[in-house]
Amino acid sequence: MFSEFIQLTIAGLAVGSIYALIALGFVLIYTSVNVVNFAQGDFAMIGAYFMVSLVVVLHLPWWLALLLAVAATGLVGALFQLLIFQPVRNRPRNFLPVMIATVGASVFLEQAFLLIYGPIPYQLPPIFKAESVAVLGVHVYPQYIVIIVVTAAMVALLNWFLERTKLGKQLQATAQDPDTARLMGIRVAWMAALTFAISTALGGLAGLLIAPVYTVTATMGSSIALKAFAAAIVGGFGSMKGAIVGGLGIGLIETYGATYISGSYRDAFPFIVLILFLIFRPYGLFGEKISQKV
Amino acid sequence: MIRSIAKFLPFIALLVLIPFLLPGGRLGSYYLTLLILSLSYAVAALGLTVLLGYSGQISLAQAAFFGIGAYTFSILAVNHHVGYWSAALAAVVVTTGFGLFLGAISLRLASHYLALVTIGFQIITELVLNNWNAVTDGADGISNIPRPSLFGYAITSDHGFYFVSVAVLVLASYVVFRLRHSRLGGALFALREDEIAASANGISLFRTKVLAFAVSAALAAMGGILYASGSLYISPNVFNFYQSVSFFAMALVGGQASIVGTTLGAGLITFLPEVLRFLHAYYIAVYGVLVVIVVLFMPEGLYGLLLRGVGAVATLISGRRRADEGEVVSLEAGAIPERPVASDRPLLEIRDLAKHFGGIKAVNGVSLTVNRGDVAVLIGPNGSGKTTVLNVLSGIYTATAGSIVYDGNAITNLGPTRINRLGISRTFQNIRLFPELTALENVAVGYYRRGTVGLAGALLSRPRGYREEREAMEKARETLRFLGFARLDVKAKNLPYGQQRIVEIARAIVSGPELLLLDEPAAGMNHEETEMLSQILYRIHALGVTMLLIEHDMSFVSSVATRAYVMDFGQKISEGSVKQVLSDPAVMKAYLGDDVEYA
Amino acid sequence: MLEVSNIQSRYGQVTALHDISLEVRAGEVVALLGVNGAGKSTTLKTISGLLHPTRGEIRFEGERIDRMAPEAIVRRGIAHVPEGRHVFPGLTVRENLIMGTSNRKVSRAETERDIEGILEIFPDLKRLYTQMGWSLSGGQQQMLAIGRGLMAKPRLLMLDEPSLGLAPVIVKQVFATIERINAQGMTVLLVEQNVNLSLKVAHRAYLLETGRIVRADTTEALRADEGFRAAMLGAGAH
Repeated sequence: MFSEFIQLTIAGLAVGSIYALIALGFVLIYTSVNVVNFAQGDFAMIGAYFMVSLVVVLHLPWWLALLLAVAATGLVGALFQLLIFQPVRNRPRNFLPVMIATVGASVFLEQAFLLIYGPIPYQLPPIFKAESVAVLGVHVYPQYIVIIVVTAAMVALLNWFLERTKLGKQLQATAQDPDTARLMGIRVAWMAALTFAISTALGGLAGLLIAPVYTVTATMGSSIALKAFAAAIVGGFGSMKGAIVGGLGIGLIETYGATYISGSYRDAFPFIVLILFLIFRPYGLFGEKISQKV
Repeated sequence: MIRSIAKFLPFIALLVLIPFLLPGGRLGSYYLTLLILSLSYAVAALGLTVLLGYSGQISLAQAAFFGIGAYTFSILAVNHHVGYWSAALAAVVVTTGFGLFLGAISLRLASHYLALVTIGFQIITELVLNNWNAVTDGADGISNIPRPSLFGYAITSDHGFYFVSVAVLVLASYVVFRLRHSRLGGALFALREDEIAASANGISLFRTKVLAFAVSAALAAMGGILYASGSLYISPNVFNFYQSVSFFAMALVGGQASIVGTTLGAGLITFLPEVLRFLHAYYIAVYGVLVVIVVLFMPEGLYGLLLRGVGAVATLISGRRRADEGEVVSLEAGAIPERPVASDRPLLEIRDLAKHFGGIKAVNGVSLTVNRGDVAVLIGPNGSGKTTVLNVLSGIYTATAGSIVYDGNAITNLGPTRINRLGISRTFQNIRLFPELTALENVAVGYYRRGTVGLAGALLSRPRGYREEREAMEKARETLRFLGFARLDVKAKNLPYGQQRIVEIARAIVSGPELLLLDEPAAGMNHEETEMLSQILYRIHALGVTMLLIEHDMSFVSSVATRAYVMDFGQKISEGSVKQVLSDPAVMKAYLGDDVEYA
Repeated sequence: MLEVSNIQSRYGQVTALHDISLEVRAGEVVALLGVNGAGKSTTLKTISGLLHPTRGEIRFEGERIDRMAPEAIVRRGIAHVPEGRHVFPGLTVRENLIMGTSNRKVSRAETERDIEGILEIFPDLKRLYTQMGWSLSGGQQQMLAIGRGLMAKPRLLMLDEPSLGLAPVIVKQVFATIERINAQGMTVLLVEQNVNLSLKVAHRAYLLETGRIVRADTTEALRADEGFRAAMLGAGAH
């Protein structure tokens, strides 16, 4: 009973880490350019496919493949920003068109990768071949541990970058007050590209980490992204802390719910949590209501 | 009105004729099926015309409402054998209920956040449709959905149902059209353009938003019923997030606020895959790219571009120029109208008012009294808290402490809509006109609080609805004329600054307020314009309107004000006649700074 | 140093500046005076590149800058301290100051030295060093905003309404600071509503009215002109 609970908790935290990484991407982009990027999940798919190419086809060692795949996904993300957001950045009321454009781009990306890699799902081997490892005397799937550890490291790295480097502070300054940032000489356009690169790289990392658990298909990103999106709302859209807590929380609730309540409603639990939040706390756990200034 | 309806006739004729233009055989009947689908989409997309195009609310849940309508209808008609029309009515009612729910949530959310919440609603709906097997039959969907009978004739053929769908579309268009031209339509537009200005003109944000969502949901339900009945079978995957995006694309492609444009957009999006079929495997990818290009680079939509092209050609042919600057504002100068003498009966009493923003004490204990018939002016250096007083007074900010009594009633923290309805109206420092509305429409919105006709009235009881619309327009015209303004049909955003001020003042006085609050009416005006403004304020004063204004231009202040209050650092430092306060050393110091050495 | 020739600027349809010409010479403090809405702030925004003029040209040290982005202009040595201070609310005082160096490549040691210099001018900031921008009072924010502007090592510092909403004591401090940094060689273009203090600290002044320059003179001449002060108080009167 207890060992099952530990197993579930670790599985839940692992899935939750994936949601948290993608939710962080949503939040970073949203706070910096005020747009929701609905193609966020597709970058998980792109990261996973890149990993497939590097590991299965080119036989690179997994750590090198991981770095290259994440970097390449970030590069695609920066390019994506250049094509989707940059042309209309100065237009008033650009929120809606850009958001819809990201949905169009999502359709395009999924189809493009379907055409490139074909409809047959790929299986990515796990990073450690062992069937299970013992944690607290409980046997768990090693990939889960990899996911949790890599995510934690990534969050720490991101935090270091945003809080301890000048570039990170410039990124924050741009999000807080873009016009004043420009007066300081901060290249706002670069900051937007960088934000997209980081966010999509996080998505790519999430995708290649979860790939050994699921299979790699062109649409693998969209269902993960929807739950990550729910996680971001539950956490309070715009709060990075919220994205992490929301992601882990949603992961746990989904895993516990599927086991203890009903397996067929597995996918519904995150959204039941979401709807409760929408009714009782629409600004989420850490979100703040900002009133309009006259 | 009749002429604007006549504009639609060619489109209706076209819709009626299309089936007879189709090729015969299988291809023809395939196209007819697609046409029926696009009509059902068009009805639902019209909901977005109201919600997005008119009221500016973002919703990515239109497919959810479409689905709730379709499912409620199908479950009742197929599984519970309810009659066709009763089931349809129930479906519309149920869906509207969900619309009310989402609308009620929406009030608490800023527009970006609202979009996120509607997506949440969309996703949850999808999940329920997929998983609530006992009621929705889950992924299997519902088949054998009936088609209606009319006057005893069962309509079973695709041809017959096509015409039923056209009739529903025409009805839906009429509803949307009537709404647009009603008092409520004005409220929706005002909401889209500027929520603060809308509420300061007596428009309840809550009721208006909820109304927009409800109408939009009802139209989605009508579309959903057509869809179910048209395709005879429904399953959850039709009503997914991507369908919501498709609805959006339809509204955007057609130009968000155009009925005809949205209908054409629905047709275009539905038939686009057919047109792109020659691309084989690539067509979905190309479709994605097209969506990106259209929404990013054609902000007016394809239909908007088309209209502009036609307009340009027409101008070229007729050689007619657009109405130019022309005659602008003309007030016969000269005799200053007789102005009422201020009484000693207080109309407005502010006691120890304070407003703090975090650590910043913008207003810190201000008391002042405005008597009936006064033109009181609030002066003081920038940042001294004057505008904050006005914002608390009009309900835009809530007071930290203190009380406001108007006409014997406490109105502290009542909210802008209520305060406006009590007869206090205002203008804003940074002019908050509704930029996309004409001067006349802007002013007519100001008359909103005098209207009584609601949704049903606007749609059904024609005479009263029309009468009220005419009255609002007539009053607006009269008021603008009273202020000497003639460019009624120019969009507010295209008016020069000084004229925008005058239109904003007209909007504030059209409903006949007792107290008018003006925030720096002369700011940015040149000498002649300021002269004109004094004339305008004399006239308004002569009507018996009491005024409280903020102003920097002292020669202007001296000419209009009967009483002056001076603020500095959130506190009142002087009061009296304009002459008195201007010679007060404390005021000199506040304005020009200290004469003592500072270093 | 700075030459603005016949510029016109608009916000959308609204023309805010009709025809502005002015110059600032190295070492001067020049004040732009005028009532609200006269176009003072718009003039500064046009110089710093937040707005682009629809007509006319702007030269800084001989180079045309009126088509450049703000990032490029601050790199050339013009720092603009905006109206309302605009400190970054979610960054600390130290981080705000560091943001000021975004216009150039600086070593860590040099940044620390520059911060030391700023803290000497504004000793109050020392004690607030790790506080967030939003938690500062108006006067502290103004000090920080000016300090952040100075961190750019500009040759021309533009200050927009530095006394706005500040208590008299603080206003005096701010003006004393302006005078001091000017004495150290900084050229300043100042937009102010506090006429007396501006006339005291500035060498020359321009009076703006509805987007036009209506008077340009030395501050001695303006101070001596009794009618001018009356005109500023009863602004708009001729």
